[in-house]
Order: sequence, then structure tokens, then C-alpha cells
Amino acid sequence: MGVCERRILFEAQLGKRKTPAQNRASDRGTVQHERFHRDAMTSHPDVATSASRKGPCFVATAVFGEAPETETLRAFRDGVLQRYGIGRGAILTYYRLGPSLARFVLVSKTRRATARAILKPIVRMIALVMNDRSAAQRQPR
Amino acid sequence: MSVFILALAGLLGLVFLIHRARRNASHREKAWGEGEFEGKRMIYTERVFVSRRYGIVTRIDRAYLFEGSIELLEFKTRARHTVYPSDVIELSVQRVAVEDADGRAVRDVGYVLTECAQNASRKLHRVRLLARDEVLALRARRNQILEGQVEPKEATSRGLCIDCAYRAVCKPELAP
Repeated sequence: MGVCERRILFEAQLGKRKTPAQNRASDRGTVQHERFHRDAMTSHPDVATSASRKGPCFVATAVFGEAPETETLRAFRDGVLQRYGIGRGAILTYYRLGPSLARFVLVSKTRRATARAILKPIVRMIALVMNDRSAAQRQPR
Repeated sequence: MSVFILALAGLLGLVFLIHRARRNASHREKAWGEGEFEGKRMIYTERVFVSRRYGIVTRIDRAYLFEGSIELLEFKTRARHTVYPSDVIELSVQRVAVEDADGRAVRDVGYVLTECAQNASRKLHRVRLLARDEVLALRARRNQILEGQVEPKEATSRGLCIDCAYRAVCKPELAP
């Protein structure tokens, strides 16, 4: 079967499980996959894809995984940064540096913990700003 | 006036960054694909294909068109540049879905591109895909296992068990 057949059964009965090492490898793979996909899109802009043409959050995915923090940063990128020239420039620069930063962070637990400690307050501030913006947009004029 | 100069500088910077990103992407592509993919056109990246006939849904990493046939490529991040039987099965399943959805033939030869997690080096491996019958036989075997009609075989490698997340349930004697 190419894999352990008992694992197939366990996955069906108990749900997909991963060891911490497998989770880390999977996160690393996700980041590298996104970069590989981006290279394809950059070198062949007309290629057909089912993936979103929006960019990924390399470092946030490496640090938080697919968590609410990552979603907050994505929302900030799409809702705020994308709207301004300087923001779009920042996004583009981030796309260039992001994969290397994510690789750097993924190497050790200490780096991930440090990055998380730095990013968490920033994400919290961004979440507050985003909440204020959406509250202001909801208010009748 | 100063705002105009700033905007112009920003625009030039942006153009420069885009150009550099394209050039770097092209260099990275050439570093592993030159020769093997010359004259072939990339037609799909991260694309989902559905075979309604067999109920298979799959996402391919990349596909290239060469002389009217499609060639599939799967990207893997690994500790070593190794190709596993599961990679060949994955590509073979993709072939069934792509042929059914796209209509064009997919070549027997596919590619696994491995990227070493330690040093980011890449290596391209050519693999021979399984025939459609073999893929369907594997699927039938999988269904039989899930329905309890056959006893699932254990992994033959102890290393697989040691790295397995189900070790505590399957082989408690190996659990830490």
C-alpha cells in the first residue's frame, strides 16, 4: 500500500494524528510548498491554478500554524495593507523575505517561542485596530 | 513636488522588487529543472482535479505539457533526498484524476522534486507511475481494510513504528 496498513485503519477510527516532529515537518513543508507555488506563479503568470492568488503568511504560519493569529494577520494584509501603495510595497518585500524568515524560525523551538513572544502583542494590537475599524464601519452615519 | 518624487521613488522601488522577485524565482526554477523541463510548458500549479468516475479528488503540485501529453511533478520537503513508494502512489492517483478531468493523456513518467529541510538543496527524481488498474486495486484494498474484510498488514520497518503517532495504540511496547 506504500504506507502501514494499520495506520489507514487508525486514521479512519481515531482521526489523523501527528507527532510533534511530524507537525513541525508538516508546517515546514507548508511554507516551502507555498514558496514553490509562488515561484511557479511568478515565473509563469498565466499558469492555471485552484489556489488563491493571494499570498501566504509565511512567518505567521510557521509560528502559529493555521490559528486565529494567522487569520488576523491575513485580514490585516488584505483589508488594510492591500489598500495603500506603501502597504502593497511592504507586502511584496515581505513575500521576498518571508520564506527565509520562516525557515529561520522553524529551525528551533526557542526561535519559534521568541518569534511568538514578539508577534503576539503585535497581533493583539492589530486585532484591536481591526475591531475598531469594523465597529466604525458598522455604525450608522 | 516632494510627494510626487516620493511616489515616483516608491513606484521605481516596487518595479525593482517585482523584477528581482521574478529573476530570483526564475533562477531557483532553473537550478533544479534546467534540461529536464526544457521545451515543456507549465500548465497547472496547485490545481484540484476530480475524477467523477472513480470519486477521486486530488491536488497536484505542478503539471507540464510536452508533445500533447501531461507530465506530473510532486514537491516534497524531506530530511534526505529520498523517494518513497507513497510518492509514486500519490502521483499515480493524480494521473487517474487528471486524465479523467482534463481529457489529455498523462505520461507514465512523473517527477518527485525533493527539497532537503537542512540545506534547501533540491533534487529531481524521475519515477515510473503505476497503471490505472494497479491504482484501482490499491483503492479496493484500502476499502476492504476500512470495511474490516481483510486484516491490515503491519509496517515492515521498525523505524516507521517509532515515528508513528499511533504507536501508543498500536504497539504500546514501543511507546516511550
